[in-house]
Amino acid sequence: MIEFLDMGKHAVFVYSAYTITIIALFMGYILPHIKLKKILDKKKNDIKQKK
Amino acid sequence: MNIKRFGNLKFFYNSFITLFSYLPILVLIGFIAGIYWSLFIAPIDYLQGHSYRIMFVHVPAAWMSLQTYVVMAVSAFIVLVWKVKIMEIISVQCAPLGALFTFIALITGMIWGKPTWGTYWVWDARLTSELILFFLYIGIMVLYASIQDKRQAVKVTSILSIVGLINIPIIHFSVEWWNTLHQGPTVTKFDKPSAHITMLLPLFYMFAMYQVYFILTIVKRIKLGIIERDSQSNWIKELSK
Repeated sequence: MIEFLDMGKHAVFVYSAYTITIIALFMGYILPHIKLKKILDKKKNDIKQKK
Repeated sequence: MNIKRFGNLKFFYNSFITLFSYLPILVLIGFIAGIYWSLFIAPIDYLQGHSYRIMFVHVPAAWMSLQTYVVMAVSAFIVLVWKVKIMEIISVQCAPLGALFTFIALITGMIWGKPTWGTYWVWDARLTSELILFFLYIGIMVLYASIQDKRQAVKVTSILSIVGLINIPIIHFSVEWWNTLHQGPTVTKFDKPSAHITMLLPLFYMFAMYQVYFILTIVKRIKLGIIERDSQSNWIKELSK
């Protein structure tokens, strides 16, 4: 681990690649999740209003 | 057993999808372990130093970009021949996921290119064909969104998906067919891989995690596709209560 933390000029490349990957994967999962939740909530509200 | 019920959207929603509700936590833990393995346990490369660690996120993303396209094209073929509803949804929902994997492969590849080749981008065969794959995914998404009649949209995008399949072997063999800056096959030389086993194991582990992520996300997207598609059905109205 110490060797990795001491990796010098390559750190910025490795860290940015991993950060972008993590953010992209997270967004790839969370966006459809939020959209799905919104649709179901909207349907729930529509049904409540009709009642 | 009635095979037709597997094409029934309600059956698919209620049984198959609920089995995957526990997966997000497992995927999160799995990725944390994989990143720790890739960054801290895998040995340093004698030539590239630490920059080679980008391989553990770049290579599986590139493999997944190809695999997702094949899944999309096979689903598209089934749609055109047998008109299975669930395959229409899978075919459409594969495109954004494939675009995501291709985006990761391109961006991490560019970042890896700078310390290795001295440049972020070159117009060589592997990089260009992967970029074309990204545009294909985007094109399919835009085409689907732009056609009002969704049944017609699925047919058109299915044809485009199948035609675009020609790009997959081009991407795979580009490093053998042309002189490219991108390195040749390393892992797929199963008789004598160029990488050491201590580097191959975390690579395969990360690939397995990408696969589980693919399953998790495609199921989420299928769920979304079903609800958008069958929104007026009684069973979805019941589900919303």
